[in-house]
Amino acid sequence: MDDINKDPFPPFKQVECAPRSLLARVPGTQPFTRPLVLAIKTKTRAKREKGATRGCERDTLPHLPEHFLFPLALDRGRRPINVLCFARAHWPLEISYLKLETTDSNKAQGTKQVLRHKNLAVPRAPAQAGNSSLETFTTLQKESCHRLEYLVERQKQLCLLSDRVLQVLQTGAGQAVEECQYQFRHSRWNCSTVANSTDIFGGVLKFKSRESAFVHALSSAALAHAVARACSRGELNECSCDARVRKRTPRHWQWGGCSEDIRYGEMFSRDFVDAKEDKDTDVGLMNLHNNEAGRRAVRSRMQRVCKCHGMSGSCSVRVCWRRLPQLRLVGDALATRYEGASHVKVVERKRGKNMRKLRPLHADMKKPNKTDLVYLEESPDYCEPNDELGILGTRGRTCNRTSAGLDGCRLLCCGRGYQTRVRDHEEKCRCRFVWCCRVHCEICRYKRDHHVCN
Amino acid sequence: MTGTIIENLSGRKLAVLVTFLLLCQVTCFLIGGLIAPTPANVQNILGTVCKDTTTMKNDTKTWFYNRGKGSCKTVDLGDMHQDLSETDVVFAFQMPVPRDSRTLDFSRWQQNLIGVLQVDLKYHSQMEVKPRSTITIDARLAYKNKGDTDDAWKLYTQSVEKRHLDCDIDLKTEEYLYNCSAIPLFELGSLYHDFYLLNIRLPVDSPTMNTNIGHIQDLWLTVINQNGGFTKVWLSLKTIFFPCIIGILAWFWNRIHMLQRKPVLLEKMLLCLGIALCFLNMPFEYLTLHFDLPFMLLLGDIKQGVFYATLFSFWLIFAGEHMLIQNTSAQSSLQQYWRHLSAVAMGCISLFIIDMCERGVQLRNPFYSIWVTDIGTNLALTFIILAGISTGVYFLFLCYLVWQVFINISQKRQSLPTMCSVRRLHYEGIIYRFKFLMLATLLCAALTVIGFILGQVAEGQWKWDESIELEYTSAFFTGVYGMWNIYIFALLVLYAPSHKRWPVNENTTDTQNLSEEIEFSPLPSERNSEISSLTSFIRKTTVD
Repeated sequence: MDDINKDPFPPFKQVECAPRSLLARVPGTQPFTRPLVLAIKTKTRAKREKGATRGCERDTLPHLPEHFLFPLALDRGRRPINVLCFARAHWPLEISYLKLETTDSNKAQGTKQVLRHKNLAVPRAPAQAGNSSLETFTTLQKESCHRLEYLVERQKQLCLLSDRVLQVLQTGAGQAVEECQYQFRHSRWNCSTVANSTDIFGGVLKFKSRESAFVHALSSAALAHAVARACSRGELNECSCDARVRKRTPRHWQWGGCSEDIRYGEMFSRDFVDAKEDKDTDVGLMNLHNNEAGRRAVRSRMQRVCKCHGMSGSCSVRVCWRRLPQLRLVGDALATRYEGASHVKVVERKRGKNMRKLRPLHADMKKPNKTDLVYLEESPDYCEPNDELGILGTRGRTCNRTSAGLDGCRLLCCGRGYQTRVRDHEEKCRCRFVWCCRVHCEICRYKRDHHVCN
Repeated sequence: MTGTIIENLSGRKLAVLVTFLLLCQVTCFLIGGLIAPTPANVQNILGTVCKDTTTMKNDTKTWFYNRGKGSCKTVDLGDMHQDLSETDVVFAFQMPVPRDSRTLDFSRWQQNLIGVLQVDLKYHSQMEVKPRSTITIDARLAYKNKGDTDDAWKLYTQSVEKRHLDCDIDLKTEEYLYNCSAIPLFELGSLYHDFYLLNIRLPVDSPTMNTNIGHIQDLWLTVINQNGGFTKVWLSLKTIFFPCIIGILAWFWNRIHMLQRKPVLLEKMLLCLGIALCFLNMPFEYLTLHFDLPFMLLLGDIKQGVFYATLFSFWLIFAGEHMLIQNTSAQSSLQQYWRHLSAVAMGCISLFIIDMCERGVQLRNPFYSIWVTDIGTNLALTFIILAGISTGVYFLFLCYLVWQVFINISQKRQSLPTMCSVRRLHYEGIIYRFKFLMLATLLCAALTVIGFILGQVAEGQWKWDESIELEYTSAFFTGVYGMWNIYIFALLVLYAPSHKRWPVNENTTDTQNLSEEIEFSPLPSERNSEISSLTSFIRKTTVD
């Protein structure tokens, strides 16, 4: 196993961790960070509306994930997502809904052979995308990939790999948002998605901040995770068998088996997410680093399982494999990284080649390794609402009076104080799970204090 | 009189032979390390949750799969408010999963298929799962071959099984998953068909069945199969070793028949060992390429068991035969060793019973496991402990015997300086070669153990150099397999009777020998029965 898998958390860096407490000192007014749902379309709603135009509808909802790395699944419900929300990168602001229809796999069969690449990392000639062979792809599929105008050319190519890719991308994006909102549920910025700004996260990611670092890492990790899961389910035919760079002998599955699904997941994520970043810009360099850190967080959380199947079931022959971690664990790991993220600057070295590297802001700080998150700028003030940045502020957020942490009323309300209301609280209790799909619960009622930031 | 070849072989020839065998050994190791892939391949398959819309739930003609024409309607288990009952939910696992845009199929070179189930249980504070609960699984396995239509699944086997579900959780927070132990589900001894499909239902037939298993989020099936490349390499090794051992065995037996006397026990044991090795080497696997032979796993176990039993018995008798000092007149026979051999027999029988209980029953029902019921577990544990005790007793016996041999040899050593120089050199040679062979045995055993431990400790690939990737596990298997073949090959060669006569001119050149010659005469049986001079030497010592 390579050393990256070990991935021990580096010692906490006090100096670099400061911004949290600094943030606390910033007084501000209190906007309300709504856990906003930009657009939810459930299956049923989609059905209702399907009657209209060729499975595609337009809505006048604003904004588009300019920064966001892949099509964002805005359906935050736990239903099978049939509707994808796409956004255009530039004005006119509009979001179009496309109903993805599962295309007949047989139809697409012929094309897959043509589209197959040995190695995803090898860029394909753009001309190929316009090949006539693509016509066998359902027009819907083609259309939906090309409709994603904020995708760069390479991403469109990957999107066109098969009809399932788009679904997987969407799942990954949806899970990334969900996980981000879970991890930041106690923070001043709670990963809210915003309707009326120029970005899905409300322009917050325009700062080269800690939060941006986290979101990029998480997105990249979630995509790798989603792709690996799709491979395991057998949904994605394109999953490669062997992702090793150097091959000793040309090997096929029957000779030596296949590599782990996460390898393809990482490769896909690297190809797709990193395609957007420009290595020559500061922000590109930072994002590339964080994307990689995200992917490594997935790999390092993999759990090893072994099975003995030797003579008479003895352990003389043992097979071990690694399980894909739950995305929550990856999120936890990245949240820890987020707290210990390194503040860096871009250093140019003009020795031979023009090398641009990330170095710690101060010489006495530890150099960030590949698994650490890095950021270039301090975070903006999340206390006050800022329409321009899409920051909703913390007004109206529920806080915890007894907590001394970030979700405590003192920190969360940015020193503005809070109001306490007594509310009737209804909660499910004494639940019993009935396989498969029902939970029998009683409803318990009690009164509870509810603290809301001013 | 004649001795064995090892006694008459010159040092140079011995060195050449040993070097040759060592080279063979290194080749075996490298073949495994450089050519063969890892012995087994693992595929993790995430279950697709299918909705069973049929009214007849027990119909084994309806199959649920997620790829190809007629694939099932999927449901999301995360959604708790669906109008679903447990009979409507089927977890489908279609093997193998596609790769590189191709539909893969199992090859018969891949030999066997082992399925392990893993359950992802979500934590809910309101309904904690007990650390140890029982899950009832209705598992149905179907197969299909190339050329069949997408829905042409045929029932392979079907069973309702109980399994223990051991789950714990470190961080008791909503939405986190329990750490559940892997559940061994099935073992197929033959991989005869091209595609397999596993449909799993979790039935609730009685009020207590499957009620306390918590909220299942996902089911993962890990399928393990032997790698085709490994089978090819392994089978090639067998194909090479098999005729070699047969040949050397024929030569060995021919040599013994050329003698006037009947074969002694040690020679018979060597023959048995050779035959057991031939049985182990027999490349039965070729048959699996054409026939469906589900008993291959069991047969493999039996072959190995027979070989180990013979090898262990041989060591006992080998040590014992070198100090049968009292009754020189009688031909030693197997009966004299019944106490020692009963330990070997006991261990082997215990293991055989467990094997028959597990893999024997699995011939009828691949989902069977002895470890599920308490009685089965106790039974299995009893026999394993019995086998362990037998092994312990065996090694005590063996160590005792070897220790005695060495005591005998050291006693003889003391009388060596009184002998004439030629004779002393000769005896010293014999002692040296006896020790040499003991050393070889110890070395082989030690290498096996060290290799095994290294493999367990340093899991994964070993990298000595950036460009050289050594597949350690495969190298270990081929290395050990080759080593024991070479070891027995060497035994057969070195312990075969020699045609060389004692150097007669010794007597004439060395006048001192005359006195020594008298010492020989009191042993009447010596000249007539052509026992290996190694044993005769030790027997003589006691007469001295």
